[in-house]
Amino acid sequence: MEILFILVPLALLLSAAGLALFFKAVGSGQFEDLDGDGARFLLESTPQFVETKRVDP
Amino acid sequence: MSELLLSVDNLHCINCVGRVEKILSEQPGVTQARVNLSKKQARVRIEEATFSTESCLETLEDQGYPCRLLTQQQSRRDQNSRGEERRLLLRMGLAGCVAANLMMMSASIYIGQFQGIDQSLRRLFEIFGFVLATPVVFLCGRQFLEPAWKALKSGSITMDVPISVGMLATYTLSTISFLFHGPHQYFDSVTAFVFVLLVGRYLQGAGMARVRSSLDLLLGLRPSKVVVRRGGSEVEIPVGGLEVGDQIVLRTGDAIPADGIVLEGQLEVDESSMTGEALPVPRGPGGHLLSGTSVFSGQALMRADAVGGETVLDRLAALVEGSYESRDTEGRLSSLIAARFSAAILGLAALVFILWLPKGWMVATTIAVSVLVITCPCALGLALPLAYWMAVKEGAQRGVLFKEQGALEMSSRLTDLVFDKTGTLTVGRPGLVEEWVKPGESDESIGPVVEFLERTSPHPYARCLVERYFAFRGPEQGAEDVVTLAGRGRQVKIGSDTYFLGRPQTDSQHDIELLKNGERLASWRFDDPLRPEAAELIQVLRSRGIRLHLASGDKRSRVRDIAQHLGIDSAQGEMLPQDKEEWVARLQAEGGVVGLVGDGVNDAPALARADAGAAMGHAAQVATASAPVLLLRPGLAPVVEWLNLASAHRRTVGSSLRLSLAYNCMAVPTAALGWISPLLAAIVMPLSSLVVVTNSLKLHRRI
Repeated sequence: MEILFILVPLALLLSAAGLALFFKAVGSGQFEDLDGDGARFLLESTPQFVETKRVDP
Repeated sequence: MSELLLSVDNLHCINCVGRVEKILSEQPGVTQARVNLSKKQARVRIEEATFSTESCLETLEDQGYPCRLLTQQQSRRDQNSRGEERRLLLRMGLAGCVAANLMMMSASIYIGQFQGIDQSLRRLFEIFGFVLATPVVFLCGRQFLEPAWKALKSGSITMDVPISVGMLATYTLSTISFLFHGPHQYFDSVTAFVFVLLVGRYLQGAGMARVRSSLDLLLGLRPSKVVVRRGGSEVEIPVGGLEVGDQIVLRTGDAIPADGIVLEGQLEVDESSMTGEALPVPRGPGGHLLSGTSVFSGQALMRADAVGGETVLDRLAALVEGSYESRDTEGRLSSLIAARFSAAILGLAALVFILWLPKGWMVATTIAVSVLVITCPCALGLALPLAYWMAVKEGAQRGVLFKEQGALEMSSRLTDLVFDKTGTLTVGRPGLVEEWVKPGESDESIGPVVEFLERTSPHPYARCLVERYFAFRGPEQGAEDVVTLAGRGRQVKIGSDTYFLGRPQTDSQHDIELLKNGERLASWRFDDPLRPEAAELIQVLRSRGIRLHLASGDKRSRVRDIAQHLGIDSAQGEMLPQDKEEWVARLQAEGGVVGLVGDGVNDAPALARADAGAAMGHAAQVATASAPVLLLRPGLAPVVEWLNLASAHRRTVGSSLRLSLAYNCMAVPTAALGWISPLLAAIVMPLSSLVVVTNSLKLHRRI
């Protein structure tokens, strides 16, 4: 069971990382518009696809 | 470089967001624009030198997004609440994360008590518990510690006090146990406790923010430019240039820019933004128009009587703004109950502690803490303010504005309701009630003459007559010697006949007569008619067991007649404003909880004196009223809405309190007997909170 002495702190570090991400998200205002931001990607201009050239073998 | 905050209407979906952002970013001087769909707001960063607010608002409006620039005060409030919300979210996140981790560790420790656990592993979990719970208590817990400290310093007790005491006691107990290798620590309970309470606060804050931003928008829509008739021609001017007395041309779809009356034309007006009335209301000449409403159909010319900050809309906005600033969200009743409840919990916990002390201070403290934690403060700290804001929101949608929570609470306990007659039970302006026409004469023969003589008169009787004979046009030619006899009437010569229209020379029941060469052709009696729904309203109120009174400045006989006709218990006529106030005071002295429905102008002292004063009638008067309740929708239906809402609020608060009482009656004795550990208490407590909060949210179903 000694492995727990490593795994438990590791798990805590992982959740701390998650918490840090959450803090970052709050800080950048991601929770201020719960209705709008979720659909915002629809507004981004359509990505430009690179045209692939068909090459005859 | 500065930032503006706009409240934008008609934002429905992400496409609207995209369009508004595009429109805004194409404006000169705009460096960044971001729209918040939840709050219906746009935050615009601008270069002041090149930016024009006027043209920006105008362009947005042309594109179908009417909007309003929020005042400095509102922006500051928004800024503050944004900061607060962020802080709350961060605290909630930290507490949640720690609570989840500690719960897993304490589960291991509990299982370990039965299965056996490696002592060094157990100690590791305890160390983590201490290290992680400490920041939760002192960083996240500040949400409760700070207000509790403030309350204690000012000598009062709020719900935050027992929360803080419970939190600190659990923490201290656990820390001592941790330092001296005691058997139990409750770091997991204390973090879960903090987390659940923070979630509650966050949800409550989010709900309130939504209500507030919808009120902001409701109270601030107006066009940016108007068409006015000046010197015979129609010119378009910015709304800021509007002056009192301007004649404004209104067409279908226009937003009405000022308060005033219709001069000519017929309109259907959409007043839903002001009164909540869904159906368009017809407005003919003489009809009142309010800024912030819009023309549903028709065309008309209106005269501006109040512009800019003087309009009803602006005064209402200032008033709502003021009530945000001045008072906190907790009302008299809930804070009173909260104070007593908190004191009771603290006392009970102390008692439990003393009674268990013979068993050792450790046991005693654990049980006392269980009692503190398991009592459900959430009903008071959360459910009651939420119920209040639900009532405010539902009210705003129904044309009932509450300025004070105290008034909402009092409204549900009314024993006496005093009506002012003019403008409340009656329409408030005279209508034609009786007509006498000499046999042989007809509308066709007298109509044109009446119309001709009264066409330009502003007198209310004249307006009624013009309305009555609006189908006729008076002679354009052949009318000579039009004479106005001051205080008596008007005279005109048409052909060889002399017509007189005005007050009767002889004693008569009627108010106006038409004479042809001294011979009476027709006469009319006018009166302030009862509202059609008055009788029904009185029935409804009587069936609720409310004593009704009628106080009026009118003639005694007339007031008595109305009271008898409607079945009102007591009535007094010829009352001055101070008489009404005295009457209210007398009813109060007899032990009644007195409500008063008045028109807000001449009832001001009585409205202020009453336990719950409601100002109704024309919104123009309502806005300035000293009453704590404002009824914006015309007619008497809002009186019922008001009382229904108040009783729905009361029932909601009542059932929340009963639920939490029932819960506490079961939980507290169990905890006091020492059958419940603080951890179990912290698990059970949120369940009860959930129940009472859901209960508050169901307020609208009780109306």
